[in-house]
Amino acid sequence: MNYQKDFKNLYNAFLKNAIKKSLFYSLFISFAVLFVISFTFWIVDVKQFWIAFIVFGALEAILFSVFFYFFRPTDKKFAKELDSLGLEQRVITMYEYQDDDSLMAKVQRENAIEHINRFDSKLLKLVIPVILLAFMISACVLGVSASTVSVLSATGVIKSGRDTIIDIIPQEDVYYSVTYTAKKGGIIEGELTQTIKEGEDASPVIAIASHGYIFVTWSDGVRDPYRLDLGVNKTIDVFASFITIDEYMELMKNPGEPEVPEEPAMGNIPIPKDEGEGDPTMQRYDENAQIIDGETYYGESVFDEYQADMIETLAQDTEMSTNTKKIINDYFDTIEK
Amino acid sequence: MINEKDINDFSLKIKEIYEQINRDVIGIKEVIEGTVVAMIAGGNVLLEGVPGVGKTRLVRTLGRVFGLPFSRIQFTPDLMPADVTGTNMVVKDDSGKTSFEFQPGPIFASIILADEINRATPKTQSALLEAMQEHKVTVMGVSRPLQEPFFVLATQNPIEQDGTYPLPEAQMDRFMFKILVPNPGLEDLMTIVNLTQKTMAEVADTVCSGEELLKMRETANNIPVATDVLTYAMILVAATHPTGEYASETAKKYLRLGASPRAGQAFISCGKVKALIKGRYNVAYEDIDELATMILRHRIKLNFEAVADRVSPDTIIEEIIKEVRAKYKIK
Repeated sequence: MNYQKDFKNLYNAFLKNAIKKSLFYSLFISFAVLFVISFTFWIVDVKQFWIAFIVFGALEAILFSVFFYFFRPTDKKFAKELDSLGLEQRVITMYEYQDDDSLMAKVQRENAIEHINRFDSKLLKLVIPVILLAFMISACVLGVSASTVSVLSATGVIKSGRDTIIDIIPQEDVYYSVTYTAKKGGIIEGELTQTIKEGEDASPVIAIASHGYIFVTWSDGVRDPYRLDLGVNKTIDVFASFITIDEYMELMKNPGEPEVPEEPAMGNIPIPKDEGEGDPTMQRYDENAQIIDGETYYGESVFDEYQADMIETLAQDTEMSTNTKKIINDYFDTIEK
Repeated sequence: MINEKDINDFSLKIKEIYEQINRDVIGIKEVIEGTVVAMIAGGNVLLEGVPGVGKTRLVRTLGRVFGLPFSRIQFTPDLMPADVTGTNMVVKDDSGKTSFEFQPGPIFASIILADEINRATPKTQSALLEAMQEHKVTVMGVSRPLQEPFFVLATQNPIEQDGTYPLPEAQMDRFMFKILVPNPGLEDLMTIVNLTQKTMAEVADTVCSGEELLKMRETANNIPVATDVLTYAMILVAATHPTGEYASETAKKYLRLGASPRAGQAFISCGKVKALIKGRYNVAYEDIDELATMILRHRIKLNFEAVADRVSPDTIIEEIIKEVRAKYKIK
């Protein structure tokens, strides 16, 4: 018995139902996956939105094939389905006894065929439970919406999910610690340990060399003894390094050996201007790197020039706070000329 | 071998049988149908009901309709096995020589009405065992076959329990069906009273001989059963075993003992008859479901919890059917 030929109308109805069911379930899952991928892309700001569409298409094709394999009407399934619609196991019995030549089996087959022919194929209408339909519509709407958002985000029309979340959710304040320490040969004037909110400025400090010493550098390479860390966005833990005047003079004689006998790394030692001598790549002398410690004698003219420069610089600097300017002025007042 | 005429005759005969029975027995259609199905399938039936609901009348009518030798044994505590099976008597021949001669008991008939079977002692009850299962009787070491077809239609009263001997499981299992005979409804009651005002005589005619009954059985036996249906029936039996692999939750909760393999045989042989009576040539799930309570109710043993919860065997069987159908997704 060939069910496909003998009961063509019913068989085709089953086939259509199988296709509809396969399409329904595969689309349901594919849309759910499309939603997840598109949403993730939007959140993590992935611009390759087309990946989601490729996955959707490939998944739909695979799932449809898999579902259709399970839902396709084989002869036995066809028989069982028909029986469940009121044929009282006539068709499955006929299927199992199709090779039986006994009189009763023949009579049974005739009876079954008679009932199948009387069967109304309209009863084979595919019925999908409302709850499943609701899930399907939800998955479809979510999938399409998320992919649209993902495309708009990738093309810059709307913000990415991450930015949107940052905008919506208030960020918790972050604080960083700022620590200044002085190595042997000097002190730090100002607040040594500070806790600064992210993005804000630390209070200014100044590295002051002791008698017979000279400031070299901060451990992070900053060579200005005056230090003002602006827009703090990380923990700062630096120390100021000093060397003796003798060591400094020794270095002046051997400008090719810039290393400073202080640990740890301290940046380049300031070298006085000496055109035509020494390593041309060596950093030039920077008089700003000098510190007037109040005890070392520099000569009146040097100090006066230095102070005049300082006063002029402070007057022109509009960004420096009044407090900082006052600290610097006070410092110069303490220096013995 | 059956032929097309046998198949056609079956439905005609069954129609005539019902018509004739309904002339004498009013109402209790399910009881009549159950008894007829069991008779065609070759099983014994235990009818349980209060006095006066027509148990004995039904059995007598069946004897008339099938035109079969009919015996009635009133079971009492002093009834002896020999009173049922028969015994060897000393007889003298014409020459004065004495010898043993077997005097058949009432069991040597085709339809046996074992009235109030639970009133006899277990010893006498057990005299029926061999007859019911193997359709033969052994007396003094000699086995004698019983006339075919052979049926035991027993009755018992569920109310009066004093001085009764409940049938043991082995005996119960030999009854294909246990059918509960209900009190007639108002309409049936009026018909019964009107009918019996005119005459108490039984008027049913014989419409089916023993040979025809055996032919009907053979015809029904040829009905094909799909594997799915067979499996369903066997799972239903297995689901009554509380400790078995297929035990249902209801069985685990309320049963001490499940149905025997005879229940499985009964499902299939009676399912075939039922299908043919309905004009169908294959057994369907609904045939099995309709037979389930009659086949299983006397084969399952309830535990204390079921008794304490006042759960009836029929309720348990219905729950088991629901469970099995849901578990195996049988629509």
